[in-house]
Amino acid sequence: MMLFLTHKPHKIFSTLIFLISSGCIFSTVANAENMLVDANILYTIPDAGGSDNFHTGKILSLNYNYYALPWLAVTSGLFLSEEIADNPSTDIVGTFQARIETSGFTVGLRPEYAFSKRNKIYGRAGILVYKTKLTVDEYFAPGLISGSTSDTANGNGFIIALGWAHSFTQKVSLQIELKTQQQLDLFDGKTSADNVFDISYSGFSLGLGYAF
Amino acid sequence: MFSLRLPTTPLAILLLPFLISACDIEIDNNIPDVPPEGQFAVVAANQHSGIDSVEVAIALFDDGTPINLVGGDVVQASTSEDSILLLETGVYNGSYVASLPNAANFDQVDFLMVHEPIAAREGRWYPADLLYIDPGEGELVGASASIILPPEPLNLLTDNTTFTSINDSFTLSWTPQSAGDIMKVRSTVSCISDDKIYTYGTEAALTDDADNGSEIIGLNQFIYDIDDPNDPPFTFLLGESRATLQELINKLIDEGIGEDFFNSVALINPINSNCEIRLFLFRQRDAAFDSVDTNGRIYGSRSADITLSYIAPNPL
Repeated sequence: MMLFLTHKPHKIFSTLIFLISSGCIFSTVANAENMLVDANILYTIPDAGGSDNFHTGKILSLNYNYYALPWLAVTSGLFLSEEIADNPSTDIVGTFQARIETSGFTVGLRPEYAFSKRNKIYGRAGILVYKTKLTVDEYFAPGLISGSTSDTANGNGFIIALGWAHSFTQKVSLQIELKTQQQLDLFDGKTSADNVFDISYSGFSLGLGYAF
Repeated sequence: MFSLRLPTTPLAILLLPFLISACDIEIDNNIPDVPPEGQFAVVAANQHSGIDSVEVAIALFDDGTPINLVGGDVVQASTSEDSILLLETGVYNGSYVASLPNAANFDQVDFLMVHEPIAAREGRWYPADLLYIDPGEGELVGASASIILPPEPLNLLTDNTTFTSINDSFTLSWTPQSAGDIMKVRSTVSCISDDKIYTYGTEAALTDDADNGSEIIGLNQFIYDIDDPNDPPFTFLLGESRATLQELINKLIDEGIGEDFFNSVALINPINSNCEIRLFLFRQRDAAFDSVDTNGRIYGSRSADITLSYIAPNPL
């Protein structure tokens, strides 16, 4: 886990591929009927609860689901965002723009209900561990030093999603989710208590599932 | 002393657009009477009757252009008990305002330019104490001034409070002082007609501005006829008096007033409307900058108010 959290994005992707491959191998060996791997892209506008005004960004998530019961899977996954920028703002100090980039993993449950042969609704709820990097660019005026500064927060939170899955074949399905990911207490311990904040990533996601 | 660090890029459009009323009276978004050359500072402080804070405002100019503070340089206003940073932008370009707590009614208010890179970022949504770039203090840091607030105008009265003609007049009276302070009468006017509202501010032209305890004032110092080709005898509220009064009204009225209160479009004619006039009497005292090299205006005041009514004889 910590190994993952300290890796660069391209290394995280490599790790993801490795883990998925491992999961596939494991699932093939363990139970060929009770596994699902799904990949989703969440379109979200991060909300830090203050005067932030983020652009829309994307978060990729890859999940491995093991069906303990026909209607209930244990799910675990990894997520990785692109760098999502805040709108530039100006105050008495100068003009500033923040950018945020996050990654982490989730563990939870995925109950589902099939209402037709090809369609089902499902939920996803669980906890997450995050690593989030916040970068701030500041500009003051010509002749004054400007630049960027950044720091990284580690912590936990939770995830809730409600989705619809449509099976194209017995193995391949389309997934559409409404999802919110809450990361709690960013920079707790690094900054004053008044400056600690939560951030949510809510939006909808599109994805594909592969059952095996 | 005021050798300024000049940002040439506008940091924000902070202020009100021009107002062009029905009688073509223009209110600029810059403080009037700022010299076109050289550096200039405007500093004002006012405490209103019954309010336990002083409204403070400052604006800086270079060659007639407002200067925005940058990089964490901010003005600190303080009494002997409290201090506050002027972080809020005022109604004018390059102006900053704040409410300085003063429940103990101290008379002296001190201003000091300080460099506070973290405190100046306090409104930001992210931890600015962790993520900030400090470009260092500007050349204005250390500049200072002090204001002595005069006594509050006590026993403010008028001999009439309801009027039906702009040709009416009334006597405004208060308890005089002999310190040589000057008196200013300003107002906020809210007119209503046919569910339309027109708000504006005036500064009355007085016979004299002496602190002598009484003044006869015509109602035409507050209510005017849009259709009259002559300019009204009063001045639409301008300058730092407008900035400080805007802050004061926000204090006095629970819901506050919008930024366009003194800048609303004249959709109705005040002379044909029912209007509420909130008359403010200011006792004002000039002060001086600590450096003789600093050019500008600096004064303190205390104020009280009384409400008058104008009932239109022929409301539309």
